[in-house]
Amino acid sequence: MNEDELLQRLRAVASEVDGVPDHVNLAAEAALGTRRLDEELAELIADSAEHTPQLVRDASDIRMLSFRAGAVGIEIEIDDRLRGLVTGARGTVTIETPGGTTEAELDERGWFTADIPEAATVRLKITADDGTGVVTSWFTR
Amino acid sequence: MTMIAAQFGLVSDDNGVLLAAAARGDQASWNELVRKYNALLWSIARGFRLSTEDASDVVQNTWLRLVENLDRINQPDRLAAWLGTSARRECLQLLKRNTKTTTVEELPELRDPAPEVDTSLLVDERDHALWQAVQRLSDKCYQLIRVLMADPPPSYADVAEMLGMPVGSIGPNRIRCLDKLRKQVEKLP
Repeated sequence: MNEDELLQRLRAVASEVDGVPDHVNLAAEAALGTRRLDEELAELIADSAEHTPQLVRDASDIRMLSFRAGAVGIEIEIDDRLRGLVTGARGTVTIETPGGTTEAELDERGWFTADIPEAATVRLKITADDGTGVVTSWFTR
Repeated sequence: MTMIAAQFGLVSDDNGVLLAAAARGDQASWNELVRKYNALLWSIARGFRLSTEDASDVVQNTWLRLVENLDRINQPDRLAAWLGTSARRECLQLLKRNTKTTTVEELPELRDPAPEVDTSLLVDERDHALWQAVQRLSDKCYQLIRVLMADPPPSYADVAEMLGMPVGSIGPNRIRCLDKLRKQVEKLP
């Protein structure tokens, strides 16, 4: 077998024993449903998980993320729960996973807390009292 | 071409057209993108020896990122590289998280789950041996070979970008890794 034949053989074997599971294809197709047109995207501008050296981290440290869209800032701390501070907007927070949503209230200083499952991929939507919306990019706990 | 496709209700094969249509909410165009690249993303996740559950998460997160960035893909013809690079980043983040949450009480087999594949489907013993040999490749070779095994296979330029390797090293590494694989197979009874 030359190299191309070998790869071709491997390709056939892989598609037989390790093809993409149906649920993965379906989830990928369903992902288009998460498209948001009405809300402004709040970009991730800082993530403590990206910069902290592996060696000094331990199971008790707190992950911190910052998002920003125009005047709206969203600061998030994650340990056992998710705690966030929204600046530049008042309103409600919706915590979205690809499978569903939960709501959280902002207190008078802009703080909110939420429980999110371990390893869940989530994003936060801030619906301001004036009806405008901001949605963060997806992040994984 | 595009007009003809539209006229007959067919889906384009041009990434730029598909991305623009998907951005307008066209599910058929989006599904075509999934059909084109899902096997590649799966191969990348498996190349990191992720379990079915973790690989599923990586692939889904990668598509969520594309949905978020539908309007911002500047080089539609390099979409494979964009998706592959995102998938690799998701894999690295996941491995980092898994390392972090692993505690000493955890059983070793829970910490490093082998991909759950059903090799009993392979009737040909030589295919079985070949698959076993692929699993035994070094991490670097395994990653490269899994990506090159994707159907359809990505270009060397795309492979280089998504694996963070110099483009000139793909060809030589392909030869080296396949050579190792052949030697492994020959060693098997």
